[in-house]
Amino acid sequence: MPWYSGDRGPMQLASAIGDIVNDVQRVRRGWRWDTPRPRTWPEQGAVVPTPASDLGWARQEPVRTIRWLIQHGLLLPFTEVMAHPKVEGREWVRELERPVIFAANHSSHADTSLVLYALSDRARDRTVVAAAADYWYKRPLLGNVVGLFLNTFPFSRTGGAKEQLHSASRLLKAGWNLVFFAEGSRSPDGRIQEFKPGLGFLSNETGTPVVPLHIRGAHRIMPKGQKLPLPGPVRVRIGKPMTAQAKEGSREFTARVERAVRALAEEPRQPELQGTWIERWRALKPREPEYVD
Amino acid sequence: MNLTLVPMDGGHKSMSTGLASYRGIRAHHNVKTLLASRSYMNPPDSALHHSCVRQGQLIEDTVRVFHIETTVNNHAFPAIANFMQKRETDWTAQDQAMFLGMKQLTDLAPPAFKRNVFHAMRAPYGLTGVNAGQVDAVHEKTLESVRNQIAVRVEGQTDIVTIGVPYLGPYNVNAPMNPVLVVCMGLGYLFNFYRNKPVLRKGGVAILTHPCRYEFDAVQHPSYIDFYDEVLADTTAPAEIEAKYELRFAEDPWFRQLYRKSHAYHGAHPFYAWYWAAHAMEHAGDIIIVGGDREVVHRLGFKCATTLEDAFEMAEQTVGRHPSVTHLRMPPILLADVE
Repeated sequence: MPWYSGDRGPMQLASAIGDIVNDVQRVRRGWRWDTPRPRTWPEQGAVVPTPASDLGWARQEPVRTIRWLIQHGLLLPFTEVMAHPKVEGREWVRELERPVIFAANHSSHADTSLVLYALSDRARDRTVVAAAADYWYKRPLLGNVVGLFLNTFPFSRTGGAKEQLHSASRLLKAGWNLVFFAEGSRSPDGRIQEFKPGLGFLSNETGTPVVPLHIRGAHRIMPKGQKLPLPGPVRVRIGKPMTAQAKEGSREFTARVERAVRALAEEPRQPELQGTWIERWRALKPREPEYVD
Repeated sequence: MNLTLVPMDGGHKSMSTGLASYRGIRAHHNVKTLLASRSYMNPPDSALHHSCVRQGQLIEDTVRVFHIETTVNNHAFPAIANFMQKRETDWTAQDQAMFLGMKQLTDLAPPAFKRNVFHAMRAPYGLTGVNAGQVDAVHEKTLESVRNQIAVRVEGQTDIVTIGVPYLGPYNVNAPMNPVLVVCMGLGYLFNFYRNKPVLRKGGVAILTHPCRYEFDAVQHPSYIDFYDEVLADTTAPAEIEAKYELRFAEDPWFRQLYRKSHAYHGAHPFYAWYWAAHAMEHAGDIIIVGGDREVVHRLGFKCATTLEDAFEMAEQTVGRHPSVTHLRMPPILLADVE
């Protein structure tokens, strides 16, 4: 009688434990460390290598709930204490109608948590982060922990463009927002480096708008090479979502996004990037889901 | 457009079953046709398919049909449950550990939780072929590639066949596999995966393993509940059930309403699930379900055993002291080519 039938007691517990011991013994008796290959089988030929994991488990329940708890209990309070970030332009990402790519400058490991901090709860829950496969996923344990905390997926920086962007575009098509550091690596001196054209390609291929994002001050918290973060003030400025214009190529669009991020870094408010007051007010309007027959 | 997993699917059957009304399907989904299909997993020997082809040719005479058929490999389980599609002799250390863990999960977790876990697994199938064009020409190619993949040579028939009934069949996606579907899956589909002659000899014993709980999905399977409670309480003989009850269920206004407006299967669906097993019931001398709920198994008209050893003891009365035993290990899906 199983334990969930309602009959609880020492006998049920003892029998459950006895069953487990029996199973372990039985498996141990037949245990093999190697896999024998029968001699009659033909020589093993070349096989298609299994594709690298895209950490699908990290985007499923109950991991999403666990991540919510980790982020709200640990990550966001820690970011608040360390950086006390000032977020401008949050209205653009408060309620997104469809997936977007967040294109931010990259100068520190703190950037990812700062971007996530700047997003609304709803947007954060649907956001994945492209993390360098050759850096974060060299050690599987580290990769999985980062995946659990920040919802990252391995993004290969080597190999063909198509291959690289395939998993990212699949996630965008599946409805996930994407945090993408188009510089390809952390800036060594905190200045914005050239954006790689993969960003424009991804946006053009999936028809996804790009939200330019500038983070100021992250470099002081944890520059490249530093192991531990130090507190410091940070400003995250979010720009108006941009889409590629008709006949605009990936490279041109990437360059335009890069200019937008650079413009956001400038001190005064940028009306063309951050919108007029009426546009910002409209972006604040809560969107009710509409059900059409 | 059809995804052909097993040789039974696809071809003219796609149109004449998939898009047909009850009256159209009734012509071939009946006890007489199914008993004459040896087996319906091998279309050339299947009366069911001959009937479907006749219907399909009529359809082709009237409308233009462009058929697309796809085939996939047998990669049915994600990495976490990969061991289920390997032979035990091929298990790696990781597979053995996964088996041990999975066994504890299935032993200890409540049924609804287990079902959620198993139904959440997505099969990472890979595409092996796409054929398009005229129905017969396309289907021939599709069948060839499916057979190449699943045919397994089996020497001679056996006295006892053991079959593990999986948690998932074509009709219980995101729903429990109810007792009628257990019969349909075990004695219908799995038993019929043969060519030439059944793996089990005439009068042999079929041993199935399944918990066989009294659990039904009230949304998807409302007619199954009545079928189990009312029809099986009266008789389990397919021919008698067909004559006495099928029309009443098929024309029941409430089942019709649920079929059209809700997410329920048709009122006649449990009947077809039951007829699917008619051939096995007629062929086997004895059918034993291991690990099943005693009351449910008796309602289905079979014998119930607690362990496999007990089942073999019980089978002794039918097939003698030293029977030959064959285990049909599925997944992956196999088509036994019996010599």
